[in-house]
Amino acid sequence: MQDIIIHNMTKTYPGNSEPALKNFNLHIQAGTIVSLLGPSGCGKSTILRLVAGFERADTGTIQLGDTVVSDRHIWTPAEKRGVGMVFQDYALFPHLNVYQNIGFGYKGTDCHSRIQEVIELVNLKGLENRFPNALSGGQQQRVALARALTRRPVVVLMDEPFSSLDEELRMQMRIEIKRIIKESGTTAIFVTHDQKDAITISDQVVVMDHGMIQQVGSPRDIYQSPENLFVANFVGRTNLLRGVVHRERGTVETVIGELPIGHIHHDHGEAKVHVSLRPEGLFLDPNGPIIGCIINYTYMGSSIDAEIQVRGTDQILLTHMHSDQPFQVGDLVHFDIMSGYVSVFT
Amino acid sequence: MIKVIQLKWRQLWHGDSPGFILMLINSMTGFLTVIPIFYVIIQAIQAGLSRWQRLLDNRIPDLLGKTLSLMVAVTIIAVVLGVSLAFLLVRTDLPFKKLLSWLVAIPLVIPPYVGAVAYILVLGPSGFIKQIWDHLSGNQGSLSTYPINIFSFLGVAFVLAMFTYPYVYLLTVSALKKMNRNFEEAAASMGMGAGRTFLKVTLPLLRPAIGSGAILVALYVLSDFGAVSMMRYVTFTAAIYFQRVGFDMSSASVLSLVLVLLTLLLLTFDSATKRSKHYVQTGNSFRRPNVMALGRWKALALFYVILIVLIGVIIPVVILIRWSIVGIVNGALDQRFFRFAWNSMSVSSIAALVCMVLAMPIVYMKLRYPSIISRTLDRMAYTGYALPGMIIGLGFVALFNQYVPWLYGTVVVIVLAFVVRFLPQALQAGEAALTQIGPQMDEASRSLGYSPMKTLFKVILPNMLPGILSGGALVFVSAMKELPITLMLRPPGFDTLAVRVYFEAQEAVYYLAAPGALIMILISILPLNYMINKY
Repeated sequence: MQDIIIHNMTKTYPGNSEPALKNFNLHIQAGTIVSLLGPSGCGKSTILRLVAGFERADTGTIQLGDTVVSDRHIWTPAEKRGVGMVFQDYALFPHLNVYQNIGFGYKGTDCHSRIQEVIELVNLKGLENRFPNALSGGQQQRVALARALTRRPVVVLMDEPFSSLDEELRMQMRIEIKRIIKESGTTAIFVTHDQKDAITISDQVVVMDHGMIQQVGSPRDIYQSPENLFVANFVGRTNLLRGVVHRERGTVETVIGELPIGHIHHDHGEAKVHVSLRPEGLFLDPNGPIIGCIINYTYMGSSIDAEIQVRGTDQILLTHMHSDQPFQVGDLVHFDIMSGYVSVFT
Repeated sequence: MIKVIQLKWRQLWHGDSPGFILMLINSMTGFLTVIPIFYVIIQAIQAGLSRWQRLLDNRIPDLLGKTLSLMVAVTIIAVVLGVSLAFLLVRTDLPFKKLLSWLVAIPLVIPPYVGAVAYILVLGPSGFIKQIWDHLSGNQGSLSTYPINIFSFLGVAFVLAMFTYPYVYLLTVSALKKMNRNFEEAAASMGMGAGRTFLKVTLPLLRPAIGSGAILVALYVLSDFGAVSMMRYVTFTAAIYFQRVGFDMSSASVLSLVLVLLTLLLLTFDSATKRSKHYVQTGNSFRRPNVMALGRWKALALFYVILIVLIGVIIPVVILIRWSIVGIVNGALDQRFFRFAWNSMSVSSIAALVCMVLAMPIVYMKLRYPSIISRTLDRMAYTGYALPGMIIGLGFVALFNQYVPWLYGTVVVIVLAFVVRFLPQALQAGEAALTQIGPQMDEASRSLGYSPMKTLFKVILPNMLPGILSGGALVFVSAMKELPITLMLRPPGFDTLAVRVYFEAQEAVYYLAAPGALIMILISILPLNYMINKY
């Protein structure tokens, strides 16, 4: 069992009254990629630094595999934790070349073959003798990841690994880094404020705000079934409505009509609930029950973002349509709803 | 109880505290740098009321008048020279700008006492200008009507200004280069002419830079000993030296205290103006300022700049070369000369080495363990930076005479005083280097299994080394040029090149002074590019 268990962790930085983390609990299964997603200052980087051993928690336990590395009595320094770290600006040693950077700190007898193996894994063959200043952004990132993997760490920690790459390279590296981590079989935790990073790369997403977990789930859960207002608003765009749940029929009554429920959270039977309806949940259907008027229309190339005023109400809904649709502002359109994009919470 | 102290201690360091050895080394360095000066101050306070009374009645007002008037005159000349040169060389279409802007910066690194020697050789009673004058007027010897007296207030002010204006020049240049064209265009769009724009927009924006430059010049005038005493003008530093030579340590301390207060006053003034006059130049629409066409003024402007280069660099160097040749022909480069050179080199290299070694832990603790303690130790280590070398020398004389007599009169004391004086140069270089290596480098190394100690040797030091070495080189060059501390502390018979240049020039044996002075200039030019970039 190489699981990573964080139990009841609280951390307050000196000089701050508000804790950066409050009673944080997380169980990460071996071999998964978990992303911590949230706005800056939500405590996501603090978790990384606590797990790496750069900071010490006020209370709580961190367990890496079978060993407790931090609790009230135990404190394992960073160098003894066997944790790999990829820094935001990569922190490659400028005085060492690629080969030496990747081999830094590896003490096994198979030193050379291990370094070669990792270099091949990250596709850096032929660049062994380059120095960091002679590498492109993507190459630097590969070196940083390779360096973190060489010692076969219990877990690889990545701090905003894509933030210094441009959009194109970013998409490439997301796929590439996921492949490398999966191939190496390592557990990975990475921190990001970019929902696309989190959704594309991870098995599990932990959405955080104000030092607390807002929701944990697969990327699909997080996007399609947000469980509170923060998650619904922070991850992607959504239409928020108020409604009343009809339990027996499995629907929710809203101003635009009765909607099928995809996911319901905290069913306390309250009268008024929040309904999050993702734009993708609305699809054009000539026989659909929802009729609205296009009041705003943005051609995006790959799709159309349209705002629709539902007839008989002042409710405006955001939706995406295929970019081939020949609509104009003022046109009346008929919609139906996909229940998988309707999430209900209090 | 102990728990509370531990907690407070950790709060003080915002987490981890540095190791004991690091603390110990830095505390020792910190105390080494402040104790001599403190000792001078204590001695001054203990000098007794009657002595204070006597000095306050006569000596101090006289010295204050002489020192402050010189300071004001030099600062004004330096500001006029520095600002005009900067503007011409940055904002106009003057030809040969690149070469000229390098040449006009050279006086920065020439020690003013060497400059003084050169000007005495040019303009003084046995200088070639006088020979030409006498030849033309036909009057010679005691009948000479030669009007220039270099050993005068104006002579001293001229020499000091010629070798300090680069402070103003370099700071103004960098401010001009950073200035956004949009401001001037905004002024123009509001109907302001070029002249009014310069007075109302450009000059006010340059004020912080000119002000800092002026304060550096003023501080230099306060601290200079070599040039003023060589030109027989007595300011505080020279007076302190003569009191010390006359073994009146108490009076020397009293005068030193007044000089320290003057220096502190200037520094406070500097930081106060820097705080209130902090202009923010809008960043993201930066455009380089346009270049003004000089038109028919071009020839005159070029003549002016070349004249400054001639006076500031070429004439002194040429005259020193001429006299050096005379010296070499007459056997100036004898065994004694090489012994002085060797003395200079050895003391300076040891001081440079010690500075490099001591700078690293201080910089490391300041940047990696930020706290009130590490900042205070860092500040303490900078004490020697602003204070005149003469005072540091006096502090070491008094302290070692009293408490460590067995070391007094050895080279060790000179080296220690050099360290106090020049450590800040190594600190600045080291800090610049370590700032390049962020704390993530340490963390990366730690997460890869290296202990803090190993991280220091495998990551921090290799990356800091180039910066530290250049800091060491700066210390070496400064130490080679150093005069007052060496004069005060040298053991009997231990002369350096700088000391010899001083004495030979004082005794008007110029052909013996010239080769040493020339070597000083050659050594000083080595770090010029580094110095230019610093300002």
